[in-house]
Amino acid sequence: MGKLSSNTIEKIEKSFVYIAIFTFIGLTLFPLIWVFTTSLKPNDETMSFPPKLIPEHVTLENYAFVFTDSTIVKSLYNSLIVSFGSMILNVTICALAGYALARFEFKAKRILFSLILGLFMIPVVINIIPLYSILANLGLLNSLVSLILTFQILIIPLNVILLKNYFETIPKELEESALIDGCSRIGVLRRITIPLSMPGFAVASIFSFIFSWNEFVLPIVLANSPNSTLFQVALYQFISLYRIEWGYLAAGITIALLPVIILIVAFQRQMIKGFTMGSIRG
Amino acid sequence: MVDLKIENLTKKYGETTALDKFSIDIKSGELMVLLGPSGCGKTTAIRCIAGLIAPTNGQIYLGNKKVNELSPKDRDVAMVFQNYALYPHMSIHDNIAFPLKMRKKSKSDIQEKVIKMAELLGIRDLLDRKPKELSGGQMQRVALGRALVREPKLFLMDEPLSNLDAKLRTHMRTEIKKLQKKIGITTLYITHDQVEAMSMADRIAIMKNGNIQQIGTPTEVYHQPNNTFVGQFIGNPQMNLISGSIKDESLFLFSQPIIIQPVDKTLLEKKLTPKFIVGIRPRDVIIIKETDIFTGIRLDGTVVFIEMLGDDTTVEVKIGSDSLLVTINNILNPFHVGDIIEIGIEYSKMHFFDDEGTRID
Amino acid sequence: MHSIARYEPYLYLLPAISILCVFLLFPFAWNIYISTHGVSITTILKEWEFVWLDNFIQVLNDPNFHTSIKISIIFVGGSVAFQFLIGLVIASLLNQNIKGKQILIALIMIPWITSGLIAAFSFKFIFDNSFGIINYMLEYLGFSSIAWLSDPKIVVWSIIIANVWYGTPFTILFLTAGLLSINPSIYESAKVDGASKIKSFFYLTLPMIRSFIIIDIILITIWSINFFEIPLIMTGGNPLFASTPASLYMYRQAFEFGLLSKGSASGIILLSINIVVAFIYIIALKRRG
Ligand SMILES: Nc1ncnc2c1ncn2[C@@H]1O[C@H](COP(=O)(O)OP(=O)(O)OP(=O)(O)O)[C@@H](O)[C@H]1O
Ligand SMILES: [Mg+2]
Repeated sequence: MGKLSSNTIEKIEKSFVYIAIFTFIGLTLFPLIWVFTTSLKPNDETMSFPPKLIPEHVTLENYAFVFTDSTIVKSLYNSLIVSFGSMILNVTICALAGYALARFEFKAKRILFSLILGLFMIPVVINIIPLYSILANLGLLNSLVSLILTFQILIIPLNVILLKNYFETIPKELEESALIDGCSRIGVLRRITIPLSMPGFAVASIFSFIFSWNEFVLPIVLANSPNSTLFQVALYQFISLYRIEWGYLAAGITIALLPVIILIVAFQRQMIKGFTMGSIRG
Repeated sequence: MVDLKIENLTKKYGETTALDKFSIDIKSGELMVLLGPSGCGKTTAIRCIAGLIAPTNGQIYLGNKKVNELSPKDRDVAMVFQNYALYPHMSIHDNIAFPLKMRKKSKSDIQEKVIKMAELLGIRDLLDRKPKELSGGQMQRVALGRALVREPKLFLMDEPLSNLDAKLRTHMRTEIKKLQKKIGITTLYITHDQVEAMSMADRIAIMKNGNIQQIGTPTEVYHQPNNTFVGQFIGNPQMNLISGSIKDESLFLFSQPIIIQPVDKTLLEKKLTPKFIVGIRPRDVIIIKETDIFTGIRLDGTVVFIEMLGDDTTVEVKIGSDSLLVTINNILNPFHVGDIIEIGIEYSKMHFFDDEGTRID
Repeated sequence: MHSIARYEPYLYLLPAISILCVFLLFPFAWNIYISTHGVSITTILKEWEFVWLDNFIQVLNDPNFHTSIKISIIFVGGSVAFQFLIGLVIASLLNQNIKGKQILIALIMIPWITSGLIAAFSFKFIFDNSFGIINYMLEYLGFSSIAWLSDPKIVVWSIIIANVWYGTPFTILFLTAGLLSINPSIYESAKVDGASKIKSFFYLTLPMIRSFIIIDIILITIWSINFFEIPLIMTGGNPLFASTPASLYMYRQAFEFGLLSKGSASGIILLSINIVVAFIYIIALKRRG
């Protein structure tokens, strides 16, 4: 065999790179795909041995069960309320804070910005016991509003940085120009700043929605009464309630996964950009 | 159309003083250029006038009205920014219409004025596009159109041409000047490019460290600079500054005393300080050929550097330990580095400044 | 007009700062109060008795806490090592000139945007002793099946695997951003100088993304120390405390056994561990940076 040309070597290298990446992605997605196909299997097939990836008979009975269980439906509803509520509150708060940090020069700016970043360093889990104690003493456990408020601590720092960086990409001159052109301060926000910040708001909203939707520890500690359970917690309670019915659980997981997957597929470009802006530039 | 009067405008940012008792009068319909090096406070001045920042001290009068307390939208000024600041989410049409819409003009009125302005600027075909689909020169025109469409009292421009390439810049500066004269609007134009200033201005105000050094027509500031800073800032290459003194009716030039006699009588009549500075523009220095008859100051020097600049050539001549720049016409360029030449300076072309740099007449 | 403007930014920052103070800073201080009193779930609404440092002494003398520290060290060490190494390899591969990078990154990100619960359940499912696909494959290949979730020696590795699956995408994304910050002409000049790909990786790439690497390791370490959703859901920390890292120990004391004060005390110990670790890393970042 003669010497391989550098071109051939490069091709072999390339194919190796692709094989490695695809293998990794395959391994990564395998557990989720497995769960998903399980959710489509009838109950007797779920625990059959040997296990099969592709269901023999596709059925939606697991989904039908999930959507008729009143606790689960209630928890889905709660999760939607809390996630949207938390998202709207969060984006409003963080937009205000980010705008102040991006556009104004004031004495305490550095201190307040460091405070926001510094508080980010406190691990939230360390706070679950005192939060439980405080809310219990105030009689505010098992309340969706409490959840919306406490969820803010998970996402405020990230989104403040993200939106601050976003506002900084919008030239200040646009706002000044609008002021000179005859806008009031409010008019500038309405006609210039807010429309131009929409992509930033979108990414921030997605982040806070996903964080709230996925959060498990805070709701299981602070709101586990049947009326205030969130979806992730309700799925967890499957374990004790139904001795793990894998088919139902798999359907539940698929439902939990759905909004997140849709968001990431629809907004992958903005998300990756937002991720880099939020975590690296800050 | 109104005049602008600014008295003792001062702006401090903490420790730094960006504007220090800045005063200027701009006549109605005049194009005043504010010229100065980077960081001298030009943008600060224009932003105070527009009402975007509040001055620490001083008064701004538009017409006869004090406008210090008015918000930008009530001052009725227009401004073009260096980066144009076109609203990226609006079409060109909507950009130009924006100031009219904010002033609640009727739809048909807006339509008519936008079209008229677009035609005046030759951007009629671009009205449906978004700003990012335009070239630099086109964006520049849109910015002008948006500023002028509502016929403001005062027109402010902060280095509006600095993002354009050299050729387009030359073209646009004539165009802006023509437009300004056509509309007849009082204008304050900022630049740090002295050629731009000279070619456009009715009058130029030259700034340094937050202060105005001199206000005058381009001819005045060129021929009668108030001080060495103005003398050096205007004109290219820079004015030569030579230290001089007079003793026993002899003139000593350069740090190594070169005694020149006889001293021009008029020189003695000037109120010269014991030590003073002589300014001479490179273009005013003459290279004397043997056959020439020349009655001014004659000096010998060595050519140390030659720089071709297209139409002209700049020659650096060493005289003693000092050097002098000389600009000569290209075709008369028979020198080489190392040549010894004789140069001549006429008394009438010399500018005299005291040792602090202030002009002596 | 201008006097209002002076307070404007503070007004805008007020909601964010006050929520952080009420729900993050105040509870943080309250934790210290709880840890020095004797409070359980049943006595929470009654008078609290001041007990000095009793809770801390109890925790520090608890053999289960010792186990949980051991588990934490294995869990954090294993998670960080694998997440980082796998992340570095995949990020470097993605940094090659390949097609469809955007969509590949989106696919790789998926585990990271699922919840800890989904990660834990998925792995509980495939690790199941009797019908899990992993054991089936082991048997098919002629090995004996493994009690992934009930063998005290194995179980910690099961939760590490799930955690690595969940956490690696972050490192990939973060290091990809680091790699993108390198000017490609540096590689070209290295090529001209005759450096092999492997050499330029070790002598150029790694040193140039050093600060990204350190920050990534800081973040994933801190997260692994505090993260307990995966063991809680996969195993409940069982058998006994064999899959209970210190963070889960805190949770279990408070909400499984109802001993809020003891949990609180272990939370403060956990926090000190966080601080020490962060401190060590920050010194590392400063010293060679
Ligand atoms: N927001 C600010 N805070 C502090 N100092 C400032 C601020 N804006 C301007 N300055 C300072 O004021 C001085 C004047 O700045 P200004 O922007 O007016 O200069 P300029 O003449 O427009 O310069 P250039 O030609 O570079 O645009 C500079 O020293 C600058 O550093
Ligand atoms: Mg400026």
